[in-house]
Amino acid sequence: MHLTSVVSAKGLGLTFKTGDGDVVALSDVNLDINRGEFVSFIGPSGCGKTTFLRVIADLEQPTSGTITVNGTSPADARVNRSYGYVFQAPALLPWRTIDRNVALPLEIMGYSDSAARVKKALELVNLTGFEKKFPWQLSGGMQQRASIARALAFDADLLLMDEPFGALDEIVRDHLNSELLKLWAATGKTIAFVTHSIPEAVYLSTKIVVMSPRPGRVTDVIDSPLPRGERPLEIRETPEFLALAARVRDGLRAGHSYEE
Amino acid sequence: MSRLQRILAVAAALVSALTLLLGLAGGISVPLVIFGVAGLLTVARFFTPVSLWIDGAVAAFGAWALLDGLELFDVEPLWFWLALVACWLFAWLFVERLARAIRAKAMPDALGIVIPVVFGLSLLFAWEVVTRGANVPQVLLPAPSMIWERLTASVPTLTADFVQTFKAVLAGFALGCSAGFVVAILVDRSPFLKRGLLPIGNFVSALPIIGIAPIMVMWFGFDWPSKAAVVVAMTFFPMLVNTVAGLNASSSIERDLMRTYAASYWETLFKLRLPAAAPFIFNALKINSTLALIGAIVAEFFGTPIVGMGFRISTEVGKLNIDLVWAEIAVAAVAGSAFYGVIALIERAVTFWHPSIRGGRT
Amino acid sequence: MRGLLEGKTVPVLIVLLAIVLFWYVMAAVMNAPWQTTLNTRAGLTDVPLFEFVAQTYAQDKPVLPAPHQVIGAIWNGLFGAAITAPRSLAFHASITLGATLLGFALGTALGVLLAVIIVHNNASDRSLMPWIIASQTVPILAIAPMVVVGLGAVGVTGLLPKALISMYLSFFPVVVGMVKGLRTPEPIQLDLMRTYNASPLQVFMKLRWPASVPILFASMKVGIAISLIGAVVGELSNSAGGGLGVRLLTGSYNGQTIQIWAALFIAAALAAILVMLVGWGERLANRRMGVRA
Repeated sequence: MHLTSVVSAKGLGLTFKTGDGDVVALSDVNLDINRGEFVSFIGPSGCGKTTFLRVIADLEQPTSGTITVNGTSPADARVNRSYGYVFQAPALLPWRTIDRNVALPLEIMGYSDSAARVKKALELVNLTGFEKKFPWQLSGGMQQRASIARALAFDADLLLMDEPFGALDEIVRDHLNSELLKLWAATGKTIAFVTHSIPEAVYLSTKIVVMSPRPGRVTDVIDSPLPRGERPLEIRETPEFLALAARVRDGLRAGHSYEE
Repeated sequence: MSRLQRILAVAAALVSALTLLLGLAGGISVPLVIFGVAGLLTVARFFTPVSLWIDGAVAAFGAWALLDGLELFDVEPLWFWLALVACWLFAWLFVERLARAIRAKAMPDALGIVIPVVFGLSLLFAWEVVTRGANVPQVLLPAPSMIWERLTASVPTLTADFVQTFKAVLAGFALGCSAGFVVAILVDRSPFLKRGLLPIGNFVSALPIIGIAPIMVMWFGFDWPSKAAVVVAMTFFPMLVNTVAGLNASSSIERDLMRTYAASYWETLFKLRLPAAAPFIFNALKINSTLALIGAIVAEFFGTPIVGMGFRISTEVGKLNIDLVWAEIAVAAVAGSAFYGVIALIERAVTFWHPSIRGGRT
Repeated sequence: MRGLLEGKTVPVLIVLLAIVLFWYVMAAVMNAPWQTTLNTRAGLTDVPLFEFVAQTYAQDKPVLPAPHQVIGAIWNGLFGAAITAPRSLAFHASITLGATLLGFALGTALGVLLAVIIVHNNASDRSLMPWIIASQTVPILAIAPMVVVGLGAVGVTGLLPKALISMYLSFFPVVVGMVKGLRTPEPIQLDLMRTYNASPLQVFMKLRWPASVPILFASMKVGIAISLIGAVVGELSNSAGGGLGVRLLTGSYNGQTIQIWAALFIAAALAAILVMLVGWGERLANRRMGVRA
């Protein structure tokens, strides 16, 4: 099978200069994300997973090593609007209705068929009927779905998601996890997903990248043996799932993630 | 009944009784007798529930009786003032009970507007009674009725003054706010200017800018342009400081979002930062509406052709025509409130999404 | 060098320098017409530019005094005359300062008192707050002459009328700020006090008052600057009383522009010093109460 690399990092490093001295957020990261994959990044705070995502998005600049996105630099990829970014908070503009919020990137990027795209995006996240509502009229889970719809509305093959479900309760989270998988199957995008929940990482991904802090680095890259097709929520009680989760946990422990 | 209500109720009944006693010996008018009796009878509340509207009615009747009884004596006797105190106590009791009832959901929320209205009317009424009853020198504080008489008799003068002053207010407001806004955008584009100009701007906004009025008169002449210049100087800095604060209000997440769309500076400005800055900008506009009026009026103290609100106030003060001065101030108050109100209404429409407009108390 | 430019002081200094240079240029430009008239009257023709510009900076009643003229007048006014002499700017400044401080103290006390009542009694809240907010839209400074003259007619002159005006002006930011401040404790903190069966006074002393100290200082900074303005405007109506406002007024009547600018600068400096003093108090209070800087 011919794997095209969407993101390719070699020896990537990022050191922040702060008032209290240098903070090594990323150190010697070598990683490939291939087309169509669902890659989760898991680790405790300070392990660099969000930083890595932001480097892909050209929201941070690395201080050493190289990284290419779609074959070009992250800056070019950003200018070419090659990815959609979903933040930890919905970041919806409160003075726009949901449909106008989803249309925001389309306005900026100059798409002409914006109405059709908005409709399709909202269908994908099951928010049809809420077009004319304002963000504050929606629950947290629905706002985050709108934020995902916004990232899906324009043509970008790469979806970068930074702990999008972190602020939601577990029941809503389970529901959104299975929705996300269905969405991924329907659109065929490449997804890079940051989380600090082991079950979430194992449930969603085809590949799991375990990271550890001080300095931020990759401790393990696990290819998931779980089936790529339909994954009902019940899969989380199967032995294969639990074994995978244990392997992730071992990786975290090896990187001293459980120590202060 | 709360402790406060109990105290008020006892005091009100007692003072009514006292009024009655002293008054019957000293030539009290019939309406005031009725008031005294009614007030005394309210002690019944300690044995059977008495509606709060009764307290309100007693207070209102007492107010009318007092106004009616003003002409009885040249120097009002003690019981007259006791009646005033009793009337005030009843009004206070009424308002206190109404507030509690609304809080306990025994009365609809909409009735809440009654409370400040009653308070305002009570103040007005007490003003009238005290100034006329105690023969307060008109030069110190005229009675509201006198002010009203003067107001209705001086409409042409008041209108001419209003027009003259408002030319300066509106022109200065428009110019000052636009200038502040434009400079804020310039400062936003240049981090160097932000570090250099903003501290100076913050500093200057605390200074008594109104002091430049005589200088403006010297530069721009006696007529309204010099007053407009003062207004420009006064409204510029609040607008600048607030707009800059507003432009910084959009959080980093939203700005990162715009970055991921590779949006240009101007796209980010118009689609994100300016709408997010709207609450701050309107805050400045509201502050400036008051400052503009004050600036124009006080600037006229320093010299103006023979028309204008500030001019009228300073000259009539010199002639000790205080009632005309109050009439001018009443007009200024109404105009100022209307100006502020219009801006507040526009704010409601534009920043409908902001939590303070949506749900919380303003 | 780059480090210096990235700080705050150098950009501010550069902007200030630019303003001063601009001022000098404008002074020459605006005083030029009168200077030309003067020179023609004196029969002077073909005055070289350098000398002409120097002349514009030395006029008696210039349209725009040059910075050094203003500084000179300030110096003379502060140090060149005995502190009790009518010419002394220090004398006038002290008069204005007295009214400002008294008015500010009264206004702050009144504001805090009203705020405490409003926060603890719902009926007072509903009666007073709408009127307090409405009073903001009334041009209060317009009442100043009336207060001064009216009280003067019944024998109350001097410091008190001006202090009353300042009080009226400064109580508003304090009331609004304190009401917000006394209400900052979250429901969860008030519940905690309830579990201790704390009395309203204890809740006030231990929770509400400490929570409102930062806002109190912020309001006082606004209040003291406004108090000064009130005192100055109050002085406009009573030229016998002295004070910086009187200097502004007499300067304006006599066309003494340098006097006007000097008085204005002293008033500005006074405002700046007072606000800075309140700011120091604020920093002290914040540090003692562990507020994050």
